Amino acid sequence: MTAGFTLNANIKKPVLTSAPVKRALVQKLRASPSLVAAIAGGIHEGIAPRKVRYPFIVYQLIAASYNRQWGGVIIEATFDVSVYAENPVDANNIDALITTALDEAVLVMDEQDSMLCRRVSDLPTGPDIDSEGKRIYQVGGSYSVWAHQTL
Amino acid sequence: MIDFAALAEMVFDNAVSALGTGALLVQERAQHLAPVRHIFSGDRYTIRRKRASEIESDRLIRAQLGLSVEGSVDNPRPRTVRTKSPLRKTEPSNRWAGTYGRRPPPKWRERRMRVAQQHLADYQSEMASRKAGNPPQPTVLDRRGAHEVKSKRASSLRWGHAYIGGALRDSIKAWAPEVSGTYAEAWVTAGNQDVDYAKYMEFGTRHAAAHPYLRPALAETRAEIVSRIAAAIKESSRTGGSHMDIEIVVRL
Repeated sequence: MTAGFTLNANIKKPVLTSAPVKRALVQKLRASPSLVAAIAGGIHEGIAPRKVRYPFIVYQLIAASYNRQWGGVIIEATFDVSVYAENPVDANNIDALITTALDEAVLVMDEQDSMLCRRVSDLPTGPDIDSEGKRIYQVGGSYSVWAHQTL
Repeated sequence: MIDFAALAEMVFDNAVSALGTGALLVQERAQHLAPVRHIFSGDRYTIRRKRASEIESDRLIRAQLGLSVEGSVDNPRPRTVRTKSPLRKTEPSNRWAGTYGRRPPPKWRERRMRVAQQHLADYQSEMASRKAGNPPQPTVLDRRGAHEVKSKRASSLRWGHAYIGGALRDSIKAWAPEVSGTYAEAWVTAGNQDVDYAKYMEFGTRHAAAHPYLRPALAETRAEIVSRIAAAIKESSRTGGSHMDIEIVVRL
């Protein structure tokens, strides 16, 4: 008598990283016409190049923890999205547009489901002096994004 | 008769104690994540260890040469030096004393600072030489490192020692939980009068990208903190000899 079993290789899928979440976040920002019209310098990750026009947006991944559960994994990512502008009114207006675009938004991701996208805090940042001596205002907030992937 | 007030007080005290331990966890993780500047130029002060694959590939050549495998009996690693006095049990923050049994002698600090100043003097003379048109020679400190030593930002005091680099890391501190009625909170802070750039490292500026260290530390240890608090409550209610339904609100 023989006994055997086969393993289904399709059961185990690789866990996607936070990169699709990041991509979906930027796509959501770019999908807002009023926001795109308001930022002359574009959207940058981490840091903007030196001679970019104001205002512009900088986003950065702060933390992404993986919460593995039966049948799936939840990525709990935190992003900082900041506006750099030459006057505080512009900075706050664009920050409000970002909040409108992202708060409680449904992000579109391949193979991942958007569970939550919410602004969780403001960034305690203030005015700064750039390399040309101009006063620059940095306003932004932290966004918590949860994405679920079925394994 | 069960004194529920005393029992609740004991549960709360244990939860606060676990909260303090959680703050220490965040502190340790943040210190690990905190950016420390690389201030030495070149690779003079780095140690490159062999990879396992390299040791395996060397095995045949060593055998042909009649040498034993690296780290074997014929070629032992340096023995671990044991001190005569047994290790003392110390507080978690007293790491130096726990490892070595006593504080390091002040002459070590003086020697370290003297060497740093010597490196700075060498760097400055080399820069003057380059300005005079001489061909460049390698320096121990790079430009950033010279600035760090010159501005004394590089010398953070820890256990009476001066270290080169790591001022931000050493400024990260977990404070004991503050209790106000039935509310307790614990803080982990970074930065002080000398390390006034802690905020800019966390949130970034127009000139420099953010290198977050506090918030990732909290995100990574959040589940551990909550489970520790829950375990403390469970344990104290068990030893209290009663079963209680307790609602705990943890905001991180």
